[in-house]
Amino acid sequence: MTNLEKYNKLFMDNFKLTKEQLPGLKYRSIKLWDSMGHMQLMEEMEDNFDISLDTPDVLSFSSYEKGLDILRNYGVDI
Amino acid sequence: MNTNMAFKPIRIIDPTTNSNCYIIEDGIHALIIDPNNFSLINAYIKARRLSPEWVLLTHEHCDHISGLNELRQHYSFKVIAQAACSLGIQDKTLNMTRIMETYLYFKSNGTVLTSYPKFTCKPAELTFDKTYHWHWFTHQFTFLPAPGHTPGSTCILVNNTVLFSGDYFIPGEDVITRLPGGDAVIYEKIGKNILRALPENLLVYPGHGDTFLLTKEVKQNYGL
Repeated sequence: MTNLEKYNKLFMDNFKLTKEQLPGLKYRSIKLWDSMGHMQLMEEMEDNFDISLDTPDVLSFSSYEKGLDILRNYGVDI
Repeated sequence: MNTNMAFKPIRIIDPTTNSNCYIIEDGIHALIIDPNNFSLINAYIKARRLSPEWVLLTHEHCDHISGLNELRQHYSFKVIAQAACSLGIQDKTLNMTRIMETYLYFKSNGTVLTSYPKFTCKPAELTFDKTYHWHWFTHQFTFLPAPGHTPGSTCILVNNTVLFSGDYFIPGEDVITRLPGGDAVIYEKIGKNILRALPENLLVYPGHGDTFLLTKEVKQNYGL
């Protein structure tokens, strides 16, 4: 599984979405991506990509696309 | 020991998380429930010249244990907790310290970013995994495992009149099962039944917020 596939799967599993629904997805744009869902997603991002996100990055992880940029800043090849 | 002493827990509120710690005294002897803030607890203990003998935990989340490590450095006492709670306090994910800064930011409606250390605690000295009866001087304690909010969540019933409910029955809040370790299915299957079976008219000392009486209406408001 590629890193992008892993990334997509985290969104799809946590928020019950299809791959086609991911582009443009934003924090709080769906019921499951609320503050609780966000914290769960961030922990799983850390576990799956073996990184430790700084809190400002957790808080700025505001969309599907923004998350990709943040992971790249942590050296994730995605 | 004063066997006639009224059961009057002292409440200490952690200013960072608004969690409640309760201290129960019997003479110079003290029992602490959910040690949330070492400095405040220590100041009270010193002012009253108390000797902490036991620490009881309602669950493993950090806002209820953040004073435990320092208390252990300064005093000799034993911790009682459900086995799952004892495991949880040893884990940064289950004790929630891993995401606490983010959680506090959201709780402040995105207005305050508070530094919060990631920590773990050593296990409890005395653990249980089913209903556990214990006494301290004249007070009878019944520990009721009530998983759902966390695996180690426990309601502590004292003298059949007082309930330390942890993060259940927080005034104005629904039961939260989406924080680390939470499980809505387990809550529905197990935790909820424990809460439903609690007798009415208990004086509830919740993990956050003020003390209140557990009436039929209160239970109904929580879907019990």
